[in-house]
Amino acid sequence: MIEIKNVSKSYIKGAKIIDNLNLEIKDGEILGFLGPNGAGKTTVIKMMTGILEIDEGDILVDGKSIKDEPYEAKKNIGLIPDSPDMFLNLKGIEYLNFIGDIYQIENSERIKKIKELSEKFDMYDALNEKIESYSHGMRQKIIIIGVLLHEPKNWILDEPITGLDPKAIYDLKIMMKEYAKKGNVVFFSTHILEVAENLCDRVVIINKGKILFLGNINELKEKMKENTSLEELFMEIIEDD
Amino acid sequence: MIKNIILLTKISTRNAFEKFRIFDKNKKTINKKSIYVWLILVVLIAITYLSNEILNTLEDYGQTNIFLDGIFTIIMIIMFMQIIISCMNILYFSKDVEYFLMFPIKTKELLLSRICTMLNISYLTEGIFLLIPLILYGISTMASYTYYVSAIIAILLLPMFPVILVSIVFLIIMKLKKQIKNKNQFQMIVTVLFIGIVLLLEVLFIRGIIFPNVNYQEMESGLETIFTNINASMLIVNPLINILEKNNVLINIFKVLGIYAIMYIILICIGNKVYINNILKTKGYIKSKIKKKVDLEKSCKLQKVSKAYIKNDFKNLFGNTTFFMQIMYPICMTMITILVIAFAFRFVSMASNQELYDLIASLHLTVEGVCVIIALAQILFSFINISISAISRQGKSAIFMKYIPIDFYKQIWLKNMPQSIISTMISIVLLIAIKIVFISVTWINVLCLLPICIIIGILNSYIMLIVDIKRPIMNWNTEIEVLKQNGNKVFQYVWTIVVILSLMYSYNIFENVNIYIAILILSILFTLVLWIFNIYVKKQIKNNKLFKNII
Repeated sequence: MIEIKNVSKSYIKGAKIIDNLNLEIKDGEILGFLGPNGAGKTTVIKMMTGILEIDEGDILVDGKSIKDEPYEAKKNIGLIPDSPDMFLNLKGIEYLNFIGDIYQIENSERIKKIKELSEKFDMYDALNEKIESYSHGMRQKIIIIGVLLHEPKNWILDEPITGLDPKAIYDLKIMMKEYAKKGNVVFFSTHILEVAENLCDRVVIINKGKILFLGNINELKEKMKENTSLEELFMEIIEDD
Repeated sequence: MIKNIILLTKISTRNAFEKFRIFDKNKKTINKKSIYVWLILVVLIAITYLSNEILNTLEDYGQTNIFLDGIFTIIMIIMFMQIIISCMNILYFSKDVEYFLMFPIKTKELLLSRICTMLNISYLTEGIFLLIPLILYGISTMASYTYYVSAIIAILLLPMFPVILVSIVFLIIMKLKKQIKNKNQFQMIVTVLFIGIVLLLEVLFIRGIIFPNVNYQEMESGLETIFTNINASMLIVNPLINILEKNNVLINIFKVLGIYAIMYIILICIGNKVYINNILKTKGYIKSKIKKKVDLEKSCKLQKVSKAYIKNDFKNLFGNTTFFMQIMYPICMTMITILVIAFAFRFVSMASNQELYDLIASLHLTVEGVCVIIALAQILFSFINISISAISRQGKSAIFMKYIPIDFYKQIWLKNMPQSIISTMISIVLLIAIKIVFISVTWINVLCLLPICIIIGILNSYIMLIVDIKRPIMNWNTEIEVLKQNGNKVFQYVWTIVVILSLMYSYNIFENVNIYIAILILSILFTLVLWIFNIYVKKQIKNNKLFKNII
C-alpha cells in the first residue's frame, strides 16, 4: 500500500508544483495517474521512489516512510522510469544480473525468472547484446524485466506504454492485471486514456499539482455528462480547471 | 563541388569546436568561463617559457638549428596521435556523417569535407604547439620577413601529411570488414597499436634524451640524428624545415606539393571506391551480426551487493570505448611511461655512466624527498578522472542510485573504490620506479611510503566524487561531453595545488625530524582530512543535500 500524505513540492520558492497532495493506493489496486504535460505526474513518482526530496508531508510505502526509512521503503518498490536509456554499456543479461545482485535474488530463482520474463517479452535472443544496440521498445522491455525480477510489492511505472509494440503493450497490460490480482500495488502514469479506461480500478487526474478527480471510470462518467468518451471527459476536467 | 565541401566542413568544424565553448556567441568574445581557454593559456605560457629556455641553451652552444628539427618532430608526433584518435570518429562514427548520408552529396565531397574538418582541428593544435616556438625561433635568429612567410606556408602545409596518410590507412583498414567488425573492436585495436607506436617512440627518445654519455657534444649529435631520422620518415618535414632555413626554397615547395598531389590522388581513388560503402557497412553491422544466445546457467551467479556494484562501475569504464580512451587509457600509458623511464634511466644511463651512478647512489631519502614523492603521487592522481566523472558517466542512469535499496553512504564508498584501486596501483608503480632509480631507497622506505600515498589517493578520489555528486553532468548526448565539457576538473587541479603547498609547508616543519616519524605524522594528518570530509558527507546525506542534483 502507498499512502501520500499532504505532500507538497516546489522547485522555485513560492511556486508549488505539487500542492498538498493526498492519495491512498490500496493493495491489489491498479491506479492510473493522468494529467497533461507538466501537471506534476513525474514529480510525484520521483518523490514516491526517493529520487526527489519531499518538501512537506510524507509518503508511506507499506507503512515505511520514504523520508525516514528510505532503505526499507525502497525494498518494496519497483520503478520503470520515463526514460529507458539506462546502463547502455551493459548487455541485457549483465543488467539483469546486476539487478539480481542488488536485490540478492537467488540463482535458481533468477534463472527461472529471467527465462520466463524474457521469453514473454520476446527478449531472450537479445539478452547477450548490449543495451545500446536495443530499440527504444526493447530498452523499455529490459527495464520492465529487471523490475519484475525482484517482485516488488509496489510497482510504479512512469509512462510504461511509450515505445512498446502492440504485443508488448498487450502482454504488459495482462501482467499488470495479474500483478495486482496477487495483492500488489500497480501505479502508473500515462497519456493514453484508453489504456487507463481498460486497465485501471481507479484513476487520478491531476493538473498544476492538484488532484482534480479521483475515482473509477464509471464515477468519472457519472460526474460529467453521460455517454462521453474518456478523452472528452479528460478534456472537460482539465479545461474546467 | 567546392561550395558543398566548404558548407559541410563549416558544419562539422562548428560541431567539433562548439564543445569547447571557447567563444562566447552572445558577446562575440573569448569565453573566459571556459576551462579550455585557461588551459590553452597555461599551455601557451609553458610552451613560451620552455621554447625560450631551450633556445637560450642551444644558442650558447651555437646549435639553434636543432630546435626546428626537434619542434617539428614533437608537433608531428602530437598531430599523429590526435589524428589517429579522431580520424575514425570523424570519418565514420560521428553523428553528422549519418545525417549527411541522406543528402545528395558526392562521395568525394563528403570525404574531402571530413578531411578539411580534421585539418581545421590540426591547425588549432599547431596554433597551440607550433606557432609560438616558430616565432621565438625567428626572433632568436633575427630572421627576416621571408622566414615568417615561410613559417605560414609550413604551418598550412604540415598537417596535410598526417591527415591524408592516416585517412588513407583507415579507408583501407575499414575495407577489411571481416577483421574489424565494429566500432568498439576497431577502436580497441587502434588503441593497442597506438600504445605500441608511442612506446617505441618513447624508448627512442629516452635513449636519446638521457644519453648514455653526459658529454654534451655527443648528446647533441645524438639528438640531431634522432630528429632527422624521424623527420625523414615523415617525407614532408625535412623539406618544410629546408624552406624555413631557406635551403632551395622553391625546389622544396614543389617537393612537398608533389608529395601531396600523389597522396591526394591515392586518397580520392581509394575514397571514391570504398568510403561510402565503409560507412554503410559500419552502420549496418549491429543488425547483421549473428546473435549468440545467452547461457543462463553460466551467466547468472549471485554476488555480494558491494562486488556487483563495483564490478558494474568497472564495466562502465572498460566496456565503453570513449570512457576507456579518455579515462583508463591515459592511466595505463602513465604507468607504462613511469616504468619505461625508470628502467631506461637505471639500465641505460646509469649503467654506462659511473659518475651519474655514484651521484644517484649517494642520494638518501630525506623528509624533502618524501614530500616530493607524495607531491608526485598527488600530481599523478590528478590525472585520474574516474571519481570526477563517477556520477556523470552514468548519465540518466544515475537516478538509479536513488531508488535502489542501498544506503547512500555505502554507495558513496562503493563508488569511491574504482579510483582508490587505480590510485593504489599508480602508487605502487611510482614507488617501484623510485626504488629502481634511487639505489639507496630501501624496500622498507617503499613500504612506509605506500600507505600515505594510498591515503592521499583515497582522499583525492573521495573529494572528486563529492564534487561530481554535487555537480553532475547527467544530460549528455555523447560520452565525449562527460569529460571534455566537465568544468569540475578545475577542482582536481585546485586540490593538487593545495596538497603541494601543504607538503611544502610540512617540509619546513619536519625538516629535522626522522623520516619515519614525518611519514607517520603526515599520514595521520591526511587521514584526519579524510575523516573530516567523511563527517561532511554523512551530514549532507542526513540533510538530504548531497544527492539533490541527481534527478
